[in-house]
Amino acid sequence: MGKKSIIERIGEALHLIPRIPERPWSSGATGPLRAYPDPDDWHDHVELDANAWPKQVERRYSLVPTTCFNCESACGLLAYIDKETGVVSKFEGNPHHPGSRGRNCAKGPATINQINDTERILHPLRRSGARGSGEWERITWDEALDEIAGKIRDSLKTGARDRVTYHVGRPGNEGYVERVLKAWGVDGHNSHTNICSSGARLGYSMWHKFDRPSPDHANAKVILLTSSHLETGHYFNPHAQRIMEGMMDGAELIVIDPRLSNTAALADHWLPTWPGSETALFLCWAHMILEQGKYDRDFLHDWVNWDAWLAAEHADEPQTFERFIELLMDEYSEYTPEFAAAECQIPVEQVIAAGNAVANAGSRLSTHVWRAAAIGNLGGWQVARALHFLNVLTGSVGTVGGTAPNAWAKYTPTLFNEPPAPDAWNELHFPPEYTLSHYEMSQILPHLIKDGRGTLDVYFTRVFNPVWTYPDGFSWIEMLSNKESIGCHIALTPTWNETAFFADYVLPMGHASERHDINSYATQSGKWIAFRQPVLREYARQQGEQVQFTYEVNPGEVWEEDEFWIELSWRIDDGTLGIREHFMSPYREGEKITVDEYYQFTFEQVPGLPEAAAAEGLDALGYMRKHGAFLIEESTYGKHDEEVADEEAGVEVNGGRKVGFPTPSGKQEFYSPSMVEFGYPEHAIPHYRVKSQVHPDNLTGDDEYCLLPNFRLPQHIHSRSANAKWLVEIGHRNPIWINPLDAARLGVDEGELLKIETEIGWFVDKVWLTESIKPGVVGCSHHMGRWRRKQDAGNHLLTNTVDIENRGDGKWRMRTLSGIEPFESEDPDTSRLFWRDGGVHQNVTHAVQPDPISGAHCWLQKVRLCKPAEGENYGDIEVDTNKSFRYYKKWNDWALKREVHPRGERRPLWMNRPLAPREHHWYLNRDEA
Amino acid sequence: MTNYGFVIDNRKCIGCHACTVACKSEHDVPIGVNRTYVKYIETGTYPNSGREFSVQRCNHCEDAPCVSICPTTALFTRDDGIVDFDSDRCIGCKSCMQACPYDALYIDPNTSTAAKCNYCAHRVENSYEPACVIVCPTEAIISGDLDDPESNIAMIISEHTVTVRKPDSGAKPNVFYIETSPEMLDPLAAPPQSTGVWTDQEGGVGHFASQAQALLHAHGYGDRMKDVDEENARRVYDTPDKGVLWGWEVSTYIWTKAIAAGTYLAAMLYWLAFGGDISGILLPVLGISLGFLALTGFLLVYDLDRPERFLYVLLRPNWESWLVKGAYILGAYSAVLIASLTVVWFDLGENWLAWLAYAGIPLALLTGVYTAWLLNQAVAREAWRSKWLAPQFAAETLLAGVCVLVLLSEEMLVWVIVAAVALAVLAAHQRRTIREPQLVPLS
Repeated sequence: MGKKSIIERIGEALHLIPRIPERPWSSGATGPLRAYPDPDDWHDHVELDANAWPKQVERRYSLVPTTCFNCESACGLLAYIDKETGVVSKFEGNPHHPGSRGRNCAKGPATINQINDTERILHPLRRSGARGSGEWERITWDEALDEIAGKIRDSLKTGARDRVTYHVGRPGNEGYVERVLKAWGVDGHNSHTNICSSGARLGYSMWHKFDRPSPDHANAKVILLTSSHLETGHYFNPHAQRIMEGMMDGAELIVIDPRLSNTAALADHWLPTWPGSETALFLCWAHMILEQGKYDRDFLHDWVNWDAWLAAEHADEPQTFERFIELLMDEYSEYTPEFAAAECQIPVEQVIAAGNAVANAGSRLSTHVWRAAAIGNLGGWQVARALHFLNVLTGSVGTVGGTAPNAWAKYTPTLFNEPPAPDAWNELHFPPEYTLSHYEMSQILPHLIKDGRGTLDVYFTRVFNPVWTYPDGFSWIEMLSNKESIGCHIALTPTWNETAFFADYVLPMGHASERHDINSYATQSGKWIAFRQPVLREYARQQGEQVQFTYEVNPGEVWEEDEFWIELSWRIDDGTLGIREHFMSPYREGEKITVDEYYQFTFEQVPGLPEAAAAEGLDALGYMRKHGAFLIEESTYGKHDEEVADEEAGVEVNGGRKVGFPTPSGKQEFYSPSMVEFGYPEHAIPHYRVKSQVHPDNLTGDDEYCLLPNFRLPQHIHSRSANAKWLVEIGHRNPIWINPLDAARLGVDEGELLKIETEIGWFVDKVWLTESIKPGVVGCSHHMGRWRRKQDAGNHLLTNTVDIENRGDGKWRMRTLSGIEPFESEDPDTSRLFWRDGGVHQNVTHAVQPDPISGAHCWLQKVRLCKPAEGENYGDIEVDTNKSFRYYKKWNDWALKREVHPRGERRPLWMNRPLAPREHHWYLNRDEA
Repeated sequence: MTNYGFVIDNRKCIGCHACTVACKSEHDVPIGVNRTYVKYIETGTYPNSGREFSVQRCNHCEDAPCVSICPTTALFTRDDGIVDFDSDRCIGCKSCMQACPYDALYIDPNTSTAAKCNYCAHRVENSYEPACVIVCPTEAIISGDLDDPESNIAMIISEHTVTVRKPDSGAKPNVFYIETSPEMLDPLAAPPQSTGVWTDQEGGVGHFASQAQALLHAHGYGDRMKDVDEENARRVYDTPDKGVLWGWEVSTYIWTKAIAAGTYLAAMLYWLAFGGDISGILLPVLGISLGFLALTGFLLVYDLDRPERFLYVLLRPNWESWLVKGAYILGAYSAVLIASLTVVWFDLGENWLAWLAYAGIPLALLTGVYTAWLLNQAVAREAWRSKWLAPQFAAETLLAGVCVLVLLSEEMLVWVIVAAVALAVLAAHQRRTIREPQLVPLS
């Protein structure tokens, strides 16, 4: 390798060509390459400018840890703050984070796109025209706080305790807002859970009150997923890492999904079961485990309430464990492999092969269901209950390589102040007829209001986009447009979205590097916390600058909820409401708490953290600011088996007192007395009694199919990735996945249009021929199809421009005027968009289908497919909200008909309820106690 | 001596695109172009359907064709095996994109210069891993020194069967794949489509980013998208197509160059070898040759994405590249033409012309033919590697020259028409020669 040629040197000397430096012919690496800079160098990390290379231009960075905000996992990120410009230039992983271990999915590094989005909302806005008109005026934070505080105060002063509510999509924090709502004295917490996981949660909680699994994939022998955790979902990155570790160590992967997800593509067994039949499959495997004698006798004997079942349903039998096993085998004998194969429509050989793998997994069976079949089908909660049954039978509950309750690995912060529980029960969130609903009946809020069951004075939507993400979005538009239904709507969001278009106030809240949160998630065995912090605020602090409020350092006036809630709560209270006392500093007598003090206190309570911090000469908050994460417990296995000292506490097992499970019996409840008491005796024990709304028996017509809408793309999250250009260029449309056999029958070909009719409307989408989906099922991802109307702003990278027409009498029509168009901005990339197709908003045509038992919205839709008629174009949508209301009434009726309240209880007293009100409110007709 | 390479372990790749985005972030890569990306194919019939993912990027070849063809050594192979690039030297000729068998390069629309994965050389400089290696959730990308038997990467290669993309390219790629199917590695097994499972492409990228608003059909993109062959594998996700990179400018300059070279060549041969009389058309012959040579030069510079840097071809030369050799040949040939014109203008005598022709005739032939050797160097395009390309160009040069002579001297209309038609057919044929091979998918 030589230097420059003579000709070049002469040319440069004669100024015929400019002088450029010599290229480097070898590297300066001084040994094996390393992954992360030493934390001691984070304050002053030097990197060479990537684009100036091969010129060596040094850039100095301060690396400040935070966590990603693009799904629930809160993976660690390091923000690279350029010391010259004072802004964040990129995000990499945080090696200290025990969940993500320095690695991220695509959404992590794409955070910089969201920070730099040229269409971000930078200032608080208030509508200046009618709701939904798209006319906005900029206001100050002071105005926003005063006006909103006034409205809340007015509502509270009427004595009402359920007319101010907060509806959250992505919480991203542990316990912060629940405490605020309690301080206000309202039963006002609503969430997105019942369109997400409440089906699975009920199934799990029936067993042990814990409503979420934490599989130990890395150590498993068999990994059984009805999720797609190598592709998406949360906890996507942390789980994918460990699923792959397990597989590389020899674990067998079984994936159950009618669609070949990326996860199924890597599986040893892909079982494309007919949606909703999974319970039959699992119960068949349960029977195989029993038949083969592969059950964990000790665990069943010690830790399952088999005696309660015998006493209740087999009182005339010997009340022995041996008899229990015999009766168990009888009970599940109907679930033969042949039955399962027929119900699931898969080969019986596959049922048997996968079943044998599961049976032989012993204590190392890690299983997961979260959304998928549990949220897709009527009775989907049976799927989770049957799946956990397999863990119970194999004795893999909380074992190494098994499946633990997620609560064992999740840290619940001790906060500086705990106001009393709300003195009300909000029946718009927990209507009486949904006695076992796990989480709020959020998806029927518009329908309950339309049904005259209540209205709201103040309604916050927070990182939450129901108009678009939820089924029957036009009903949401109707509700949000009506000032009688919703007095004041405040959207707290990092970006524009379809719901914010219908708000009264749009308040920009910070993204991953622009806010404070404490995170703790059960990504593996082991308990950790992580700290999401406004990195520029921390950087300013390092430089010795004082920052009072986060909006001083964020772009524009973007703020964060933690400080917003403190200020708002302070202003709500005119001195008579007793709210301010819950926002007092724990360190300075009589002063309002600051966000730094909030976290200072919170971190000081974390076991082991103050000690670890002291070892580095820091306090607890200082440690978290520096490292971004802390491992509290290395592993969290078998907590039920820990001894408990107190004679009154825990449960007796084999003569000793153990922690047990937080159920009435202290054990795994195979037999659920609550199911019986609340009017569902047929569900006393796990069974396959409820058929899905898309069971083949319910698809009678030749042109009737099952639509599978609830799958995601690996690089997107529901609403807030629309402005991440690097994610959008990888995925922006959602054609209909259809098996060629079905396409042939319908007479459509690749790229042609298909009309999909649901119970309440229809949409027109493009055909995607694929062998990756079960015939009879068609798939369309509900991650795509974003839109804005001509008067709306934001997200030009991913939104189609649509026209929405309210034709009256509940009839709505949406037409796509244009696809995605390039546009001019400060970012040259926005004029280089090579894509046009923004997909179709299918969710809005879905009828709400609230499961009467779990309350979960059943996502799968029975649809009729045909070719569109003349004048029905790509992206056209029609919905009849009167039809959707009647449909809701039909499903709601199923709950009303079976409504039973033993002892006047609204719901089982032992069952979880977010923001649980005071005890007497748990009883009907005792609210005025 | 360090020899950096990659292993892509496709037992572990989950197709999540984290590497794609981490790289975008590290280098601020514009929309539409990629230094690394993940290709998806689907195979089989339900229920035996399958999907595979594979990461593709520059292979840091030991015998990199892009380095050989780059006229200005903007692309260069380092001692440590990294094939790096210096965008200050790049003139945007796009020869590298014709030479890379793996379609690893792109034109950055911000700078109009070529770019590709450079192994994060700026990070390696400080002993850090490339950005894609660190982000991968399943650690499916392994980097390191291939020549160090104790290194992780070397041990992985020795313990597993590995394959490479297009082993017969001659480039000796240093990105090794574990458990990657032939259907994935062979670009023709699952040809590109115009839509993917989540994507569509309706505008240009990279070199054609300015055409983001317009369809790419004008640049030959539309023809490239073959119909899905459902019997074989199907490509379901891919990065956008870059289109035809050497378009009308290149095929036209080959035509004008054929005329520039052929006219003088045919005339001189007719006079010196066959004793023909060209005295009446000498000035037009020289004028047309020089004029079309100037036009050729203009088109050559016009085709560059950084035309103001055209002098780099002469003054920052990579002698291995036929772009450089050709530029000097054009220079020498134009000198001969200018000298010959001077002789004729000032009536210095035909002996001088004959002496000049001793240099001029071979130079004219080389002028007409050298592009074939340049195309031979563009090893990505199978059709251009043919040994018949040079004789073809020689014949075309002569044919062009003869046609021009006919047009200049012939009086019978039918021959004039034949010559004009032949020139038009020649132009169409040259357009096809340049365009068609660029429609064959490389990745």
